[in-house]
Amino acid sequence: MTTAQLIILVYDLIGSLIVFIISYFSLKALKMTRIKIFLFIFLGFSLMGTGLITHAIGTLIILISYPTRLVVNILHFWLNRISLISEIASYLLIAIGYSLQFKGKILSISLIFPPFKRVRKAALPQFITEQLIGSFISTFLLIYITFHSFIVYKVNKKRPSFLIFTGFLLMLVSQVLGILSLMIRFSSGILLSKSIYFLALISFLAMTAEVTRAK
Amino acid sequence: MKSRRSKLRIIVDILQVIKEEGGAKITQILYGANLSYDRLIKYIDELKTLQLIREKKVNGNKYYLTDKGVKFLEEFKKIKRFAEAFGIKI
Repeated sequence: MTTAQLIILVYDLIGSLIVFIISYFSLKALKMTRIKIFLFIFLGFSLMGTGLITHAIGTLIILISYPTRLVVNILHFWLNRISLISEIASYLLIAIGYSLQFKGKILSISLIFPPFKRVRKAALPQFITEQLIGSFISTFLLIYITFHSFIVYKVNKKRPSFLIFTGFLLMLVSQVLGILSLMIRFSSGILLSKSIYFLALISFLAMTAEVTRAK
Repeated sequence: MKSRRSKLRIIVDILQVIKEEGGAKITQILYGANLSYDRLIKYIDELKTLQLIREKKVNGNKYYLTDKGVKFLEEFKKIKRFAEAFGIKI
């Protein structure tokens, strides 16, 4: 077990807890207000947590079954795939939530896909894997989400909104760094990317703590 | 969707008036929550059924928040702050 693997495992486990707290709070908000946007936020964060847990299980399986067998590798591959799909779906749902909220006033969610289509049409280098394509989709979705969370902060100037914006911005930075690390095969970059992602989740935790504290 | 939200706001407004007054008469709630008498009576009945308020007959009818009502108001404030953080207006 390498230190980096252990750190990533801890990040995933604690991170999923943080994300499920936000998800739980969104569910409470949905139950009380019946506002549809909360449904998307709830599903988005739930899937994000599921992705983190799945990734953690995958890492754990690899760690405890040394030397690795073929079946373990296949299982790890599929768990990573589930994690990746969960992550993309979570960003998509949160982006839809923001999209509903602004109702096309700022930027329609469909506008973020043409750049991705252009990327796909271009001759992609062979080393771009499924993981990388998934990361590209996540990046475009995160740009959309970060932009909207920034608009929300600019309008209400409240600290919890700033923490949400910071969280999504850090997720975006982490995603870009992750892509760069995959492209140039820089393994330490992955750990740095995961650390920034963890900081993003801490920002969300701070937001939740702030809104739930007794006033 | 919109009527649901407005209903929640009305309920919160009623509870808020009762809380601020430390127990309120129907007329106080009527002005504070800005509702017609008929609509207010319907809401009062619903809130009593939900056990968010209770009625006491001392020098006329007065309404007080129950523990559940106090908790509901606190929860609402948290949810409101959470919603605002995402730019959602309740």
